[in-house]
Amino acid sequence: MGWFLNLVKPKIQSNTESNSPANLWHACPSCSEMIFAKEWELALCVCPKCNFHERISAIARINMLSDVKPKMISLPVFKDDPLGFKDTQNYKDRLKDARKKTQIHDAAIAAEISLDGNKAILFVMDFNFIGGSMGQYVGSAFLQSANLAIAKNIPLIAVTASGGARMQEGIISLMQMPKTVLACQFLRENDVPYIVVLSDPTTGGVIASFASLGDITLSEPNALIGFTGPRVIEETMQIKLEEGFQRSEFQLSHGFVDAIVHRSEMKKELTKILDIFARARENKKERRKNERN
Amino acid sequence: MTYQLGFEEVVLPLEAQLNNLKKNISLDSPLVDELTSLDKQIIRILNKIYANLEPWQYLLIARHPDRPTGVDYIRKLITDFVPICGDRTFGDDSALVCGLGKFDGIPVAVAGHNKGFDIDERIKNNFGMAHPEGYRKITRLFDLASRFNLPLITFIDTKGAAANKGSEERGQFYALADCIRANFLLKVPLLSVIVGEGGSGGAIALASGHSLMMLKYSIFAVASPDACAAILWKDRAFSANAASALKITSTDLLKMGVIDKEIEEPVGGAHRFPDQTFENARKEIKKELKRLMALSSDQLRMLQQEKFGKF
Repeated sequence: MGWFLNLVKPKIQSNTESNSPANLWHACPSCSEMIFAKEWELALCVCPKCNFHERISAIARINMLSDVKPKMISLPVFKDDPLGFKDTQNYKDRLKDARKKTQIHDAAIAAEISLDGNKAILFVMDFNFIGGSMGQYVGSAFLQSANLAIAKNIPLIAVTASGGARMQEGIISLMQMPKTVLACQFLRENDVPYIVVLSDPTTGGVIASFASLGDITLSEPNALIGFTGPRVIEETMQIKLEEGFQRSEFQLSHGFVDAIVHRSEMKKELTKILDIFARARENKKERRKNERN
Repeated sequence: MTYQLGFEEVVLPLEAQLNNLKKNISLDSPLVDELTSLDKQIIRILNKIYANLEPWQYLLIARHPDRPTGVDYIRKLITDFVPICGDRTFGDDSALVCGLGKFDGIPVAVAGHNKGFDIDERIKNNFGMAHPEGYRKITRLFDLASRFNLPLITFIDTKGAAANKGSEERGQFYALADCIRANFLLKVPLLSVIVGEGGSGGAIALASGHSLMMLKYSIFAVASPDACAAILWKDRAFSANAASALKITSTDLLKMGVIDKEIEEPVGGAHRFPDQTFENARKEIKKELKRLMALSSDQLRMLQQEKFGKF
């Protein structure tokens, strides 16, 4: 894949063989338009024809949202498979496969980034890792990111992509909801700005906890955002939901998102936001000083 | 026909016989002896059945339609009840009953799920699955409780938060997240008791406080085992497997430190012996409330940070 994927090791492997003619072209998963692969990468995996925002890896995301080389944050690691869970496959094997596929340890990574000189902690989820589901690792990674943002007194940005709780960790995954909400509360009590970027999809226990508690909430276009997925609602209610139900535009008009931002504009938008907060916080310091004098 | 649990099959005809005898008997009847021995026999069989329950059987007991639901504990344990209704935004949610009252003479704020006892009430209450209005009402109640020094007791019995179109349109996810946050803003103790089903986000929103207790035959899970089976096994027939794998019983959850205490339930379950169950719950709540009311609001918050930080 493209330049933005190559900044951080390990590299993401392209899903097509290199040097094959098929690799030169990429079919848009939404409108099937054939696009020159290089062009697709330069467009940050957004279809120039239909504006479809393809899901991207967490590593790609971090690289496209920093001016400088992102400083990866080491996150707490836990013993795999706390319950000894087995469905059609052992959870341990599922983890192994996901690690091999995504080259990351679990469904979230974090880095310190800089945008126009303003530093921030960036927490990013990866839908390719067991549906971006939140278990102990992801919840702890978020808490760690929040704590670091507080310690360094810089904003936290969270880019979410998740189907919800990591079922294979049972109740431990449910406990990540209060844990991450508590982390949001720490940010709030320390006046540390918290910006959420919702990407496709953000549902279940993730949207019902830290993903909906941002001071500012942005979303990529046409991302599925909701507590219960549309398929389940259609099945249980025996209805057909209208086109666009629970998509970003729907959530914007229902009052749950501040703005929808195109992927190519996201970095610029975040830079703007960080700058406003940084200046406001400087002024606050100044005001405090004046008040004391 | 009354609802029957398959694994209680052996004991049901005996119970029917006993009830029949009780109806037709006078105190001096020679049948009194027979009645006593029948009673003993029933208890013996129940003991045997209940000593070897599988997790999926806990789930069935927790869902038994005769099992007391959250609101029943409010009716039995709370005096001078004053209802708190509505979220001041959209409407009221009858799936969650809120109010003020007294527990053992102590002024408290309470909330409890109401699954409903006949089909009309069940439909009206969405089978105890609350809408955003319900969680916003809880947030209101928590704020009220904090400001006026009313310890909180929540009685949880829900499959989960409402999963329908209206809930999504009115921001179920935000209502849940904000309600969980309200748990961390509390200046008073929050004591939660899972009395039936403790399902997913709909339960944790009322249970992220300072003490979490569970009745022995209730369950607490990240997703209902049926839903989990449908997702992971792609087949609801694997619900029993999912129930075992998810670790949903009070015994397992106590070991994992998720709950603070298991409340003993009479053998045969709360659906058979509700009064004994109410009494057990009353005793444990009294003890736990006394312990928590001795803590300062800083200590209460520390307790939450320690508990939820460790998972």
